[in-house]
Amino acid sequence: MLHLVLFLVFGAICVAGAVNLLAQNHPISSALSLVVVMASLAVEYLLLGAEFVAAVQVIVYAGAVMVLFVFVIMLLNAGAEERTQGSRVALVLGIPGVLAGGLLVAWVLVQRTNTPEVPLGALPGFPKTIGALLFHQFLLPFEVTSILVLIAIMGAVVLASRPEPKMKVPEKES
Amino acid sequence: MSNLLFFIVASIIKIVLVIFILLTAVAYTVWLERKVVGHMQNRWGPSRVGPFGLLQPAADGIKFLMKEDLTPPHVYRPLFIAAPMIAVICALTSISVIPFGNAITVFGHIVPMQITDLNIGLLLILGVTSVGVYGVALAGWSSNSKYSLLGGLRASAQMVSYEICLGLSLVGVLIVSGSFSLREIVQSQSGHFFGFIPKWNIFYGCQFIAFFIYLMAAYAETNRLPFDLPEAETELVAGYHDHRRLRGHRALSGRLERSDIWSAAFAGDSPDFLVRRKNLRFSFYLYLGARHTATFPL
Repeated sequence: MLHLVLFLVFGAICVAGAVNLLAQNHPISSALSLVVVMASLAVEYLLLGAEFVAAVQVIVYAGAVMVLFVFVIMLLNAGAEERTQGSRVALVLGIPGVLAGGLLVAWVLVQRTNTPEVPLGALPGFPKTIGALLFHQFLLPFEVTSILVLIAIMGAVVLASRPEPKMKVPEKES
Repeated sequence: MSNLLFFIVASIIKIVLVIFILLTAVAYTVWLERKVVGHMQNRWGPSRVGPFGLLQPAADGIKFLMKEDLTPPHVYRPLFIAAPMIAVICALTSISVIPFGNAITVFGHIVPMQITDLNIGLLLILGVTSVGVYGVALAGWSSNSKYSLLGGLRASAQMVSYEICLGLSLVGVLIVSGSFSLREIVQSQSGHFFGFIPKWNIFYGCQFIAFFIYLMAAYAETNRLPFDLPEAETELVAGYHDHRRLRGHRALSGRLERSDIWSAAFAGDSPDFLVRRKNLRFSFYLYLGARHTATFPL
């Protein structure tokens, strides 16, 4: 019961944060709403019994990734966004599209009744279990993912580095 | 239902007690630090208020509470008010997983001497500390001054980078104790080698190196003396600091002053001091290992 109440409350906070993220027109406010979304998602993971994932969600996303976002926004000193009328395509196609997508997902979830129901908080996700799974059963995907991340880091370094200045031939002073 | 009621009441009592004792302890460690440093520098330190200046922390607290609460113009108001709150909330939240002693039995209910025992206690502390960076960064940014912004960026960059050392230095402890729960970490260090050397992690498996790294990272995390670049009074007029940030503002504009009700009421001094206490005590818990009898180590 308590689990369900908390789940609904933090789900509502999560959605409110996401809506606020779109509604705010100052980048810092948007970034902070995203932090709220991340944090309430972490609480949802916690309620589902995934303690380790919840902690990592807070440490990595709320604590590291979003701090960098906020840093960049502060350093660039980005001002308030301009409000435009929005594109008509988004109104005409976007909202019905989102509604249809949501309905489709909901319908699939309702139709799939063959999976057994698990009450909230019934499955503990201990860090030890996750570690054992990662380093035994899913070792290969884990390592492949780390190589993927490495490639992404290298790409970021290449993109961020300045082009080497061309060698200038020193002109002779006449 | 009476179980739930008992749990709620017991938790509230524990929270109030822990916060009260912790904040008093913080106030008096400030007093002790000023006193010791004063004597080392051939000064008296606080000596006017009460015997040996013992009432100085109380006087400071009252002073901070009674200060006029001005908000300077041109600040981004919501974040200007929220930033010190974030810092203090994060500092206080991490206390919730620290064990203070064994469980006691009250009216037939077992009450552990700890606000809550989490399986992921250590991760919670790391997470909350990393969220605490926002307090500093936003405090610097929201006051709309280049000096505060630079101070805030410096401080938060330093905190983010030293968090890696902080986290990695804990890996050894985790391997030795095999758990994230602080209660289990403390319990794994009970007992003695050869009957007289305490079985602390600092003696076990070369953890003293990790302890040193942790201690240094904790100093850097809280911008204490060897790492006090973000304060930099001469160039940044004290940078981001919550009420010091406002002192910095006063120095800049010559007229603005605002005491931070939150940091004053909750921390007695700037929040970073609270964090430092916390980190030192964590190091105490993790490495020196509290006796697992019901002592109250301070």
